[in-house]
Amino acid sequence: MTPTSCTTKQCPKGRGSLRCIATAAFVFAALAFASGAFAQTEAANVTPATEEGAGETDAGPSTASDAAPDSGDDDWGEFDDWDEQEGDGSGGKAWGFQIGGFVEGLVAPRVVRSSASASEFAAAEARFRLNLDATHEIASARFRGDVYADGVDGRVWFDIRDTSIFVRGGNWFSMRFGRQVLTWGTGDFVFLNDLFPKDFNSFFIGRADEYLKAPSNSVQTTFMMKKVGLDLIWTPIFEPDRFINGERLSFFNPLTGQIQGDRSPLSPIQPLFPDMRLRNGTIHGRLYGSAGPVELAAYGYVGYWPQPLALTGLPDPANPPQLTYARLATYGASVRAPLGGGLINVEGAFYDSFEDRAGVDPTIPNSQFRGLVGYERELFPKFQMGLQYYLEYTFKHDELVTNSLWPDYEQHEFRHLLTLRLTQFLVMDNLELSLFTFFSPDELDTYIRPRITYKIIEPLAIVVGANLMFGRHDYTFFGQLKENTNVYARLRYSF
Amino acid sequence: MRTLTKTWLAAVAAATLLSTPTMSAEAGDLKDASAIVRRTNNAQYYAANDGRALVRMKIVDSRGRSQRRQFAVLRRDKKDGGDQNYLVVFDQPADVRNTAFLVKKHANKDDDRWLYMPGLDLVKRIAASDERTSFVGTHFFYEDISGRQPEEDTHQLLETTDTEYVVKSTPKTSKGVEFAHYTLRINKKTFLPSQIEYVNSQGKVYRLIETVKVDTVEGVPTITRLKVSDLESGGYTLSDVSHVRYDLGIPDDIFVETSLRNPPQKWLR
Repeated sequence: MTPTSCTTKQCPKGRGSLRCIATAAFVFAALAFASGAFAQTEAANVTPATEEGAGETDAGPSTASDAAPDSGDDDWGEFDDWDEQEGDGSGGKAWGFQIGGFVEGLVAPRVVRSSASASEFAAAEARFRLNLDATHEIASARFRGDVYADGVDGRVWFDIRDTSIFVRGGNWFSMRFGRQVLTWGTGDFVFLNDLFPKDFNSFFIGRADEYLKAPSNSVQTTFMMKKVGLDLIWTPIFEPDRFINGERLSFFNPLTGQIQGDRSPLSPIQPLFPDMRLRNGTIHGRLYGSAGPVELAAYGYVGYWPQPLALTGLPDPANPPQLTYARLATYGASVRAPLGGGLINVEGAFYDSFEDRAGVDPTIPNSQFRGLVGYERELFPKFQMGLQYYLEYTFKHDELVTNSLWPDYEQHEFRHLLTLRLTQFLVMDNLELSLFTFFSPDELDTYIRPRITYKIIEPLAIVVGANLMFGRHDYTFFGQLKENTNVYARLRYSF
Repeated sequence: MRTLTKTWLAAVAAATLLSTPTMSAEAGDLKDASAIVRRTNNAQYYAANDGRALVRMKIVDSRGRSQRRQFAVLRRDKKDGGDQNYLVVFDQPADVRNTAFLVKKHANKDDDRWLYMPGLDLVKRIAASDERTSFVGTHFFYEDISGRQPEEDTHQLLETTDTEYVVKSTPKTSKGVEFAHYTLRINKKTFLPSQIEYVNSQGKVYRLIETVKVDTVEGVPTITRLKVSDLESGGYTLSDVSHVRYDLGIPDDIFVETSLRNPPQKWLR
């Protein structure tokens, strides 16, 4: 599991990146200004309402027993001209439309000296998100797109997260075509049977949680039969993870035995992709249902390892090896149920690396079993705790080490990982304190994600947090990321 | 994954909104406080067999700052006074738009709840939580929205006026509740509460829920405007319910995970 790189679309090549940034900065400034203007308008509206509200409180209870007439409260008058959005029962219209999104700034300075990375920032970006929805009784269309000016690599990126059409065929069948973000499984930041693309760069630099999931161009079909559902998802062109490739975040490269960042001529890592052939697509399946409060699911996947863990050939001075994606099939199951006032989940997955089941080919990863047990519950009002134990067992470990090109850096036969999540809501849920910690007792590395989210005033929220990576060794999962340790602040205006 | 969790319960929210039928004018006054409260519970939370509504809330804090919540609710009862299913789809505030809750409310055990977070396309199951904490950042508690089981309190009829029953309800156990008792004023005709006063251990009224407006929808008296006040901080939340429809024939099989990802527009619109 070597984290690795990003593949969003950038400004057309040939244009000066400065020009790109200038354009984006202008768009951003205009939006920010517009947002500010809206905020002021809103504030102006709020003040009088407030005064009326206070007056009303003093007026005492308006105890309407029967169909009492509207109590003449101006405070209530606001509901009469409150815009009604689509989908709320406004009724009558065949199609409903919605527009929304946010404007967000993120800055994440590194706080650990890094010899591998040139930039002192893990992230410095201004982002504009647009959400469009058109919904109908039996169909809907959706768009989610981001434009962001990235100060770290000096480019403007366009990242379409969703452009899809949904069609419903009665209560038993539905389909979604197009670019979409997909998720399933029971883990919390730990994925076993979810082989949909992830974006590990976003995860470690303070972007919102949703960016951990990357989109793919897929067709999703869902069949519902009574209490059992079947999802089949086909991604015709394999969509790998946006792995950590050294460009933005540094990682440990076992070929060189060093931490590699953007200062290295080897960065960014550019793996060889499978040919765009029909047979190289990926298929994901899930069968799910429930027995009372117990949820059960079975999963299957045929495609590739989502990260480039394979090599194109054995080292040969004339022909340097290139990273690539090995074939993979997975089979798994999960159970989730209430227990002792909380929820327990158990999930397992067998990763069948079928190109090298014997485990003797060092250019192809070995098969694995992955298991997860989790428990979460509310300890005190508004204070939640979640615990998880995750295991990766590598089959044919002896063969792996014997044949490995870097036996010292191979992960243990059993890799254990513990996670702890603590969440506290305060101030009428406007303030959230959150801590998520990963710790591996066998690799002796840890990743700590503290975060404070505060909703300053309705559409405006600030998030302050940190991504703290530690490890005894440079080559472990989180240990290799330690030079990327950063703190961040994010300000978002939603509309 | 974080976030909207405030929500968690949300779902139920809905309830508030959909109110009741069980009544018909009664010839004589009732004497049994428990029976009155059970009837009120049915009137307020189990109207018809199913229902749909649009709920809008305005939250005003002690410093006068306000926030909005808006969501659509579908409800289907399995049995009056018993299990119910809810589907709640949020529209405001903007940062939680399309977030949805599925709640399977159980009369005698913890509810089953799921939360859908659209950014991640994640359906997250939510653990049981304290019923007497803020519902999605409003001054309502989860319990105000989904209903408190009448069996959790002992009920005493204090007074019967021309139009109302006045009932004092005292919790059988103080575990998990912040009040010493509460006083309900219940309309004799509709069996809807017109006011609920919560009294703390010092004997002081610190929290008040008032029915501001009742409309008769499809023959069913329905609370359409409610106000809950935190008398200690001065903050309050207004709730407005509109587009109420009853007995639409909402099928049970829409209360499933796929409806969180793709809400059933047929019933919501």
